[in-house]
Amino acid sequence: MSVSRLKNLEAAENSLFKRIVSSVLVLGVLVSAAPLSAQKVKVQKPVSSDPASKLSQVFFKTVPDSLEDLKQIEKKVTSLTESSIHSTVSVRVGDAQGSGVIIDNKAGYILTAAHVIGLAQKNAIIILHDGRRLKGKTMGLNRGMDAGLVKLVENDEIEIDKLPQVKMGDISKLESGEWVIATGHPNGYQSGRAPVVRLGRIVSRKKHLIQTDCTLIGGDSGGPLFNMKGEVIGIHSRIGPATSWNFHIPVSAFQNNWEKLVSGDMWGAKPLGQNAVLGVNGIDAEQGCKVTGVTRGFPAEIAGLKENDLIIQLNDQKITGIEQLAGVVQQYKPGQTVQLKLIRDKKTMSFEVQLAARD
Amino acid sequence: MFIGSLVSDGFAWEQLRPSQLTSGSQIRKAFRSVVSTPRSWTVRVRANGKEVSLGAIVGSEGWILTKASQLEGQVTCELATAERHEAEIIGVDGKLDLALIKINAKNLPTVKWQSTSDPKVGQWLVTPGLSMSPVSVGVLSVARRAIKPQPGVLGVRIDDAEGGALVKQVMRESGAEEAGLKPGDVIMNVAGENIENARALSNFVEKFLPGDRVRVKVLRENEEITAIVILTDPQMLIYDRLREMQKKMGGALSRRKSGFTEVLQHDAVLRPEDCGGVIVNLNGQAIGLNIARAGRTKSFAIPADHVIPMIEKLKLKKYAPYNPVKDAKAQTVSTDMSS
Repeated sequence: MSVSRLKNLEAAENSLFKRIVSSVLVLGVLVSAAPLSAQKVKVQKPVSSDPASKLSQVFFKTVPDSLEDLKQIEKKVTSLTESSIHSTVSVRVGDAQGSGVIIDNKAGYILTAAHVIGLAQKNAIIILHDGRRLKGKTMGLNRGMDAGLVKLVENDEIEIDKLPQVKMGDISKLESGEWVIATGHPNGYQSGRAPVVRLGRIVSRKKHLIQTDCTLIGGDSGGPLFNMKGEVIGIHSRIGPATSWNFHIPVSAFQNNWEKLVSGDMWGAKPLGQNAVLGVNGIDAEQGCKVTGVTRGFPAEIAGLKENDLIIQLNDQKITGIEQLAGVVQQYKPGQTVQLKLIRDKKTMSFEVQLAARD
Repeated sequence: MFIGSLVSDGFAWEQLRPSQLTSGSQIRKAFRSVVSTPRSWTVRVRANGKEVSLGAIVGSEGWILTKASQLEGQVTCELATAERHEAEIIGVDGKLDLALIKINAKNLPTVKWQSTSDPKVGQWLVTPGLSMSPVSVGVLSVARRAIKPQPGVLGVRIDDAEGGALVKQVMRESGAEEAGLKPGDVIMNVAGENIENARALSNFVEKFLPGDRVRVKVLRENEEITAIVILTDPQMLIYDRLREMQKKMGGALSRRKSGFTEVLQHDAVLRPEDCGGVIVNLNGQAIGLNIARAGRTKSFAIPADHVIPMIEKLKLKKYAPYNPVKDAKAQTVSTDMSS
């Protein structure tokens, strides 16, 4: 599956050469991890809201099949657009421009995509839905998952705790077919244009990626995907050629690593770049390559590979050792998905791994 | 991301079938009662036999509104009843990119407009075609706003030359390439304006919009040649790779997609040739006219209250009869042509 970072396509639409260059540069930056001390930040894992208000029957149907169904969807969606739009912000860090969503107006936390913020501890400009501007600081980022956190900086003019916020949802029961709302700033923030609303459905759902038919483009990166309770369930990350290929990282990427993100930690490999990487250490074994370690936040770990797994095949190529495995991986491009066949506890298993980029 | 026997470990994920996507056939089917009347006001417009747009019947005597910049050559209309008629172009408004055309027919059903209030963001907006199901569905993405004009370009790199502008390079897939302009040509006149040098050419062409047709006189090997160039959106010319990416990532876009007084932006994925007809709410009332497929995430409709006054103005031939070739200064499309 060929996917593009939203930023690259933003360049396509804007045709600003500077932006293209800058996006390439951002992808090539080497990061030195310098965790931010927790400062006065109260580390508090955001809690998912309880399953509350009852949804109309149409939301449990495979497809709506009557005018009444369509009216029910419309009623629900129009009741959610205001909070969706008001919590959506534009995030600017250097030349990069994306979107984000305010999920905590006490601490001033904004969820966005890692590829929008690039590095921790950078200055960010946050533009609210109504055009008001605030300063922010980038916090932690999981580059493998593309999850990034920004914290608003206290300000005399705008009371941060009065800003509209939304909750993160529980995505454990998320299923394909669910109706979702996407907001963001396609092609970047435009004065006089509120965050742009799109309605769609979950097309497929994997552990680390949600696919919808809410059309996204560059500038939307980092913007929120909402469920029909108005909770954030995903953050826009990348797109593919078809208009139904829009990918969002699930909010679990934030929830499961909340303390690390708040502390300003940076980890994981970028999904796109020059040379593909799997993120395993290994030794030659009789039948293949024995895994001696998986790198945190890299594709192998994300896919679920473990120490002592014996990798025996990658797509249709036999694996005979670590050097040879590295060579085989190099035949692919970052972002491509490959099938790994391995033996664990005497059982043969198959894993789908999306390759990332080596710095 | 487990597969096969490991499904139980993660979650079984099912892929939504294409027909179950928001604009898929199964969901569009649910909108059939919404478009049962609106499709009778809708026509398929063809130019030289090729589908170019949809149209909206705005007068029972055969008056039809459609998107202007798509029209060329012989224009025909097909009704929802499958009747086909030849159409005459009556008038064009360059600012809104609207054309009024006329077919020989009587007692046609006409558009029921809703112009007193705009739909709310998130409300369904449905694009009827001629079939039972709509061609596409979506929701209002952004409340009405203006879209600033983006000037058109010929698609050439130029330099000064004696008595004109020298073509150094013709950009791939530009209007200039399509019209057969070649490196070495000297552009002497565009749309009736004599061109002194490279800068004068750029300054003059800026007054037109993408999709406009201009008559261009060039000197090639001491021979004067006339070509008609359809101006191109410069965004699509900067960089081949980016253009290819746009095509892959967003589908085809309308040639003219900016410079509208006010638009309603919605998220229905439309083919450019499905613009030009009405867009309706769940009550089957026309809240506007689709005017452009403007990007992967956006389609534009002109709100009904801007469309309605144009009908009578265009009927009265207040505007010049449609001449697709801008070959005189007087016909330059300027942003204050209408209103």
